[in-house]
Amino acid sequence: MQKDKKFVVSFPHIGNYYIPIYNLLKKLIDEETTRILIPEKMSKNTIDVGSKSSPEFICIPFKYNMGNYIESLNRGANVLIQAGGGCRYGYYAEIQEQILRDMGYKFTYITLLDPEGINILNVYHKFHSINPKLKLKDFVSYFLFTIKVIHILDEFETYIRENMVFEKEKGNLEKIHQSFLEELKNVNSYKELYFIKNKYFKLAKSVRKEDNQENYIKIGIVGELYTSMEPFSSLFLEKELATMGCLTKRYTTVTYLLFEKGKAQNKLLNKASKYVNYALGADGLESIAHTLELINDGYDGIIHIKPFGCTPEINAMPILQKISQDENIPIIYFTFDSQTSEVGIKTRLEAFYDMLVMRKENLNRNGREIYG
Amino acid sequence: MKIGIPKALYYYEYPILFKSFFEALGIEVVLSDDTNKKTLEEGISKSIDEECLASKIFLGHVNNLVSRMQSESIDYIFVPRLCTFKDKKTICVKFYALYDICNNIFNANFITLNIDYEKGENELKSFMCLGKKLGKGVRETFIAYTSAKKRQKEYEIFRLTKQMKEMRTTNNMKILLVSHPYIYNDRYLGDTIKGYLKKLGIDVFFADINCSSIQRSESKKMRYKNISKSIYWKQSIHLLNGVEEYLRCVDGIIYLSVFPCGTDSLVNELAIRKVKDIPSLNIILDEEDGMAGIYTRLESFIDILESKIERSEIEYAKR
Repeated sequence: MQKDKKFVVSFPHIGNYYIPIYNLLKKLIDEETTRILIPEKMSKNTIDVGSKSSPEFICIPFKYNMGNYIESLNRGANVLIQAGGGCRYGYYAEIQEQILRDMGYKFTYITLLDPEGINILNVYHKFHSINPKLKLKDFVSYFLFTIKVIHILDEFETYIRENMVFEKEKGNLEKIHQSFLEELKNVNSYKELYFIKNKYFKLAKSVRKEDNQENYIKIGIVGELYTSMEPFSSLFLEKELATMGCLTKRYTTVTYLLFEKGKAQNKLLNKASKYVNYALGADGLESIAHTLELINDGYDGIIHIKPFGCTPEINAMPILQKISQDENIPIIYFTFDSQTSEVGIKTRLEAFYDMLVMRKENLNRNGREIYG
Repeated sequence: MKIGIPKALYYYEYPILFKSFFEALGIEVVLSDDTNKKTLEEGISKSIDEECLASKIFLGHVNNLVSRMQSESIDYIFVPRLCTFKDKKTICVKFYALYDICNNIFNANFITLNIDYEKGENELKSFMCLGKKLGKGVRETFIAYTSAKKRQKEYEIFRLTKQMKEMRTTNNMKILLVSHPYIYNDRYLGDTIKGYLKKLGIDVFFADINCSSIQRSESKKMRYKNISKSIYWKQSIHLLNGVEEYLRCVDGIIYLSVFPCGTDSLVNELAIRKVKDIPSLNIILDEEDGMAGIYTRLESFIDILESKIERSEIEYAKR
């Protein structure tokens, strides 16, 4: 058997963001001593393995992360990366490291964000320890490039999500999306990046049929970030809705979280001032403000998603219920846990959709709302 | 003027501070009734099913006060918003939103106090703000705040010396209870467990009452770092400080939390994994009130501790 490289780097999945992460890591490492291991695709096995070794009532992202790590460790990884951040997420790293060490795995653990916030120099030193050849100047420029990649990935995926329902032929966009991701994985310069962007936007637009937006049911998705960004844990909610014939909108993307959230706080607070006076922690306030915005934009229904036990979103729920009553808008709440089955979600989604269709028809025919 | 304080969550975190602040301003303070089955039922009917048990009970207490508002002419119900503290410490996210949740669920007058160091709302400033809202003068409010703060500190020291003295003088088996004050002080949640342990002839000590957390010196405050380096929740830091401090003077540790507590799910897991040379028991309370299962677990835990003590005595005698 071929001897493995000295370092095998792996990281947890979140949506399709493994592509910019892979792209960044590939540039940061020393090819001679290090190899990158993209974690296995999310599957039932991931969550089974993950929840077996997680605390009982921790939120589901923890369990998925653990599943990713264990699968990667079993395939030979020995350097693990965790992002870190707010709410409970910032504290994951320490517990995960301890649990994995207790299980007998040997590895180096790198956390990008410290509880005190991101410090680019700290991150640099951490990568420097596995690749002594890395220069600070290069590190910074790679980092900035990755941010741009994330930006374009988000832009394209948002377009796809919002236009999936207008496809000329079913499956067209899916194919375009896949090859877009494949090309993005190995992009090296800004020029290439913009070339890919233009090419795929043109392609995506060519398979779109023109249709009146008024004929579709419009549904907005709000809620916790991991479940809304990770297609496996939110069970392809948006794809399911598109096949039913719904227009969907969702706000949470990494671009939003990293660059827009901080600035938007006060604006959101203003927007939601009728219902809340203070931020609710993590994305709780976002859920409220975005719901109000969606109602203003004439959306027919709202889906609120969260992992089990997510306190910030539970904080938002009684307030959302009040909004639902006041504005007379249907809101459905989904909770994701390791036990959640795809079929159960689908059934509830279909019922919700049917209800929205009937409500809209009734509204158009009689010109009045149904209450109750 | 009359202000109602629900006897749950933050009331137990600062048992004196809020009450004596209002009293020093000449405002009458009314507390909600002790937790009973009705409180819990009302709380559950008002809350989202996934909320933690402690906050369901909290809503039950608020409900109790709201129903008494008219008959006892209570002007405001006091629900502070606690968020971030000094040194980038925070608190359970639930406390961020209590005020807004109450405002949306109940149709009553609430008054708040916003402590959020990150946004520049420090403790003094927010208390002054509260005084202004109540129509009191700056001087008056300041004096009330400082005296309340002093009395809170005195109470903490009194509590600590009492616990230390008991620990030194007792010959009974000693158990450290690692639990938030709003859980072990609650009539419905903690009292049954404390009472049962007492009946078995065991002395219970509380992890949140410890020297390290009320120290001025920074290095002594940091004892929790031996267990967890990156923790940032204020309440959990107090508890871990306590665990570190009492580790060598007690026979066993009981971790008591409620379902599904966000912070404890991680912190207790880590503490159980890291603190190894002492027997420990992890109890999670939920709204099902059958206590038989918990009593059995407590009993067998005590049996283990007893046999361990016996064994070590025999070994000692052999030597």
